[in-house]
Parts: sequence; structure tokens; C-alpha cells
Amino acid sequence: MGGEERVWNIELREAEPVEEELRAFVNEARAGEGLEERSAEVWRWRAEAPGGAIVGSARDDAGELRAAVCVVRHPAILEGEVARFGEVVEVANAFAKGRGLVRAAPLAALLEAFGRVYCGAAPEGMPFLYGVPTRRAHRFLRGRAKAEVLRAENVLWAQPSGLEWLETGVEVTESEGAPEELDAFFMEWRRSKPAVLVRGRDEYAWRFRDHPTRSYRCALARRMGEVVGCAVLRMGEVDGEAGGILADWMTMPGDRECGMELLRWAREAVGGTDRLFVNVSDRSGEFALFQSLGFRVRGTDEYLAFRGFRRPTVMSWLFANWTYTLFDSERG
Amino acid sequence: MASYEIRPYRPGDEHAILETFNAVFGEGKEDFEPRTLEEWRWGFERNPAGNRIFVAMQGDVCAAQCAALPFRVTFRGKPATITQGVDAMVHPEHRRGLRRPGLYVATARPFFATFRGPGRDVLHYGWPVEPAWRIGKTFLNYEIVRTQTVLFAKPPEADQRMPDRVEEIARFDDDVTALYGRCAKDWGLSVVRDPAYLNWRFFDHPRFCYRVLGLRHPSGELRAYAIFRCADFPHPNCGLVIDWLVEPNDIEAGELLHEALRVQARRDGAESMLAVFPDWSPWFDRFQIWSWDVFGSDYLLIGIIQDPHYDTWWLRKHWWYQLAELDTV
Repeated sequence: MGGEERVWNIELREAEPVEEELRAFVNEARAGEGLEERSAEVWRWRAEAPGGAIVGSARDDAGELRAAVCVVRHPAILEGEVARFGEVVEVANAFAKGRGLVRAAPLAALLEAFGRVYCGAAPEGMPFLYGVPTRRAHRFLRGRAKAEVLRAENVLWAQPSGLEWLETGVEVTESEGAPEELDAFFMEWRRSKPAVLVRGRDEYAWRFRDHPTRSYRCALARRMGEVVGCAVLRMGEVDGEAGGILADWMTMPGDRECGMELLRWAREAVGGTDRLFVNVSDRSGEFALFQSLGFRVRGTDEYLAFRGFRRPTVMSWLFANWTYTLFDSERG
Repeated sequence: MASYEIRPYRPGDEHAILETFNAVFGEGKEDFEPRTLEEWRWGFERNPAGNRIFVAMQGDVCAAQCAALPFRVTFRGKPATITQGVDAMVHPEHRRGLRRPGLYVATARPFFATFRGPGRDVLHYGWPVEPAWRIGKTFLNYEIVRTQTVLFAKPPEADQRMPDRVEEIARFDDDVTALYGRCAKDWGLSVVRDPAYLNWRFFDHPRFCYRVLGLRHPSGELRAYAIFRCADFPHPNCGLVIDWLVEPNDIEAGELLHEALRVQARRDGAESMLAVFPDWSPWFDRFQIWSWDVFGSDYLLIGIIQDPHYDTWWLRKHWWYQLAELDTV
């Protein structure tokens, strides 16, 4: 009998701050791919996301855990309407058990159930699930869970000392935590964005201030006292190269001066010697802006993958219209 | 329900294939220039790597076709073949000829059953638009290798002299094979650039004229080349860098050929210039240093990988390709 016909005991629920059994299971699977462990603090942080997180498990008849998933729900604006996008942060399967298609059956069943329960048209359902899978997960998700590649990801990089500067009327100040003016600026900024995750004070506080392992610095750009831009920076590595990573970036379309001033701040924040990195959609205005400010593009090993539950699901629409940065995923 | 004879191409089918091609691809296009028999023969009879064609015939009418242009490649140091899917079509009067998944898929399935597998084509690729991608993904195991980025630049605003050492090449000789060997030593997969392929692809093309700009070593041996053409793709009057074969550490040759391309673009009245490089190539970075900007395009580079030991992740990092591998330019 094929494993496809087997019934798995599937549980789907809101994530708790402590998920030790799932964490241990996922870490075992990650170790099999040579990936580092996820800490208990990271799992707790996910459960505290403004939109919450969902965990799922599939067990066999003996109660043994065979597959697990964790999805963080992010508030989003989709064509002007409130929605939630799901970031798939963990998929794990006990590939050592069973053979052939049987091996992957519990994870396939779990993801199918997840889609039925939580996904669909907004606002009730999540219209999109997305993530940056490992090579093994990508192969599985494409073949068994209807996931598609949205983009072969690029990274923009620059040596800050190589950037040219002009005087502008924009003033940049560093902000502690989540700045008060953020909500109002986001509402203005997102008007030209057909698909975007919400970047309000709550989201910033959770994503950046409360992150269990990373330290971020946030800066606001003002012109005549009015907020016109925002950038978030952390130190880290991209493909083994150390530098400053722009974890989020909001400037109004065409506002090059604001971009220059935020980059001036980032240059000073990284000490003027290391590299700066940023990841944005290659169809966005920001992608062109960064190149005009001296950044160059290079490929990465990453695919941004998604599964749509909106009908009709058009990959090219999301490809062209989703404005994202590293803020949108745990890569940030 | 209509019945069709689905089978490999037989000599003589080309007349029906051509008729359907011009009906399908000319549909609703006032500026469409019908494909000629000479063009068909160039692509499918004189290709040094042969052809791959399956048709669905109903009487004398080609109701559907699944076809590909094969290319000889070096795949991890050994000879092999890959194919570019081209001219996927169903005759307008036969689009309801079979229920879902439809006549095209019914024609494509035996095509792939015939040409895939050990010892056959290692990769089938294409740059489909989204509707064709959806059909291919659902029924034929298409996978996205990458969403395609392109490099754009503006030609010079004033006339300039062609760099002294750059010459126009009239036809490729055997020394191009040695140049290809030097360039390809670190590439996992690439179409073999030898006289048989290059002369067929560029100098014998029945519709397009290409400028082949080259540099030679003092010994006379070919050192590097770049191939250029002005086209209305992807927008009017675009100067396309069709092929670029320069050793990765030969920056001087690259600079001279790059300057020659800019001069040629200006002379040909191009309003912009476009090039495509794999993003792991040093030339992808070098062109940016030369003030080219990168843009995301609507094109998806897709592949059906026939060897289970390799996947899109491997292809993305090891496959050297150029616009030369796209038949429509």
C-alpha cells in the first residue's frame, strides 16, 4: 500500500511560547542538512509576532512525530485591503523513516491540511504563503506542496567609502526602538504599493527591538520636520562577507536625496569600511535607486518561493507588485 | 471527438507546420512577417545538432506541434545535448480538439518520453511567458531556473571611433573552438562555441544580420569576440549583446569589445543596449562597473532537467548562457 493513502494524525494550532518537542524535531532535521539549531528564544519570539504564529504536526499511529511546520502570520496590505501573509519559517519531515514517496507523505498531508484551514481569500484566509527554502525543502515543496519560485534572489552591495555624497535638505536621526511617527509614515508610503507587509510600531518593535539574537539600529529621515524615510541596519554576514545589512528601507518613490542621507547614516554606522548589503525586489523602484547610489547587484543561492491561495493566482502579479525587503523574512 | 495522429516529424511535414506556425503566431498581428520555408529549413534541417519535433496531424493539417532546437553542449566536461523549446503551438481551429490538458500537452508528452532519459538531451529549456509556463509546470514538469535579470545601458551620445584593434569577423574559424575551451573550463554547462554552431547560428541566419566584433592575439589567433544586433526586442531599437566570449581574466579585451559594442550601437541608431549574463559570471559585475544597470524582467528561464543528479540550484550556478541561446533574437 502506498504511503499516500495513510491517515496521519494532524494537529494545527496557535504557537505557544515554548514548543520544545517541535523545536527538537526541527533541529534534528536541520542538523541533517548541516544547518544551525534554532534556539528556544527564537521559537518564543515567533509566537509573540503581532499576527501570531501557527504550528502544525503530523504523527503516525504510534504517536511519533513525523512532520512539523511553523508559519508566522504577518499583517499585510493587499490591493488596499487588510490581509495576512504567512511566512513559512520551518518545514521538517522525518525523511529517514520510510522510502520513496512514503517518506514525504506526512509533510505533504500536513501542508495540505494547513492550506485548507488557514489559507484562502483575505481577510479570513492567508492568500499567500512564502519562504526561502533550503535546497531539500525547495525540492519537496515544489514537487509535493504546489510551491513556486517567485524570484531567484539578488543582493545589492556597495562599499560605503565608494559612494558619492551631496548636501541635501534631509536630516537623519537615529531612533530608539520603534519610532512614534512610523505608523503615519507607513500609511503614506504604502499607498503606491499593491502588496506589502505592514510596518507599524508593533511590527517594528517585534521584528527589531525584541529580536532574541540580533541588534538593530533604526533611523528616520526628515525634511522640514516631516518623516520622509526610514532605514534599519544590523551588522552581519552575506555569503561570508561581513558588513552592514539594511534590514528595512522605506523611501518615497523618486526621493533620491532621502536615500542618499539614509545611506550616509548607514555608512557612518558601519564605520565607513565594511560593505553595505540590501535585498529588495528587482522590480521595485528601490532596486533602481540603490544602483543609482552606487550599489551593484550580484546573485545569491536563494530562491524566494511562494504558494498562492488566491484565485486566480498569478505569479507575475506578485512578482511585479510585492514590495519587500529583508524585513519580510527571518533573513532580516 | 476529433482524432489526431501524434508522431515524430516526417520529411514533408514542414509545409503543414509552416502554415500552422504563420496562422498561430500571426494571429491578430498586423506587422507579422510570415516565416519562410528557408527559415524553417535553417532552423530544423541545417542545425548542426539536428532537430526535435513532434506533430499532431489531422489529415494534412498540423493541428499542434511540440518542437525544440538542440544544441551541442559541454556538460561537466563531456559532450551532451540540450534543447530549447520553440514554436509551441496549437492550430486555432483545433484548440478544443482534446479536453484538458489539451492537444499541446498530448503532443508534448511523447516528445519528452522520446528525448529524455540517460544518454539523451540533458536539459530542455525555454523563456516562456506566464501562460505557457503554467501549462508546462502543471503538465510537463517545467521548473524555474531563475527569474531573468537583464543589463541595460545607454549608447554614447556622440559618434566615436571603433577601437583600433577590434575587427569585424566575416566567418568563424577553428581558433574559436580554442577560445571557447579557455573560457568554458570553469563552466558546468555551456553550448559549444565552434565554427559549426556559430557560423550556422549567426552567419547563415536567413532573417537576422549580426555584427561579429573580434580581437586577435599578435599571432593572429582569435582572442575574444562579441556579437551584436539591433532589434525591436524587448522594446524598439534596442542594441542586443547577443554573444560574449572573453576569458574572465582578460579585462583589456573585455574593455575593447565593450567600447566597440557601444560604438556599433551608436552607429546602428540604438536607443538602449541590453545584455544577459549569468549572475555568477565576472562579466555580470564588470558590465555594472561599466555603468550598466540591472533590471528584473518578465522572463522566466525554465528547465526540465533530465538527469536526476542535477537540479535548478545547480543550473543556476553553473550554466553559461547568452541571448544567443534564445532563437527569437
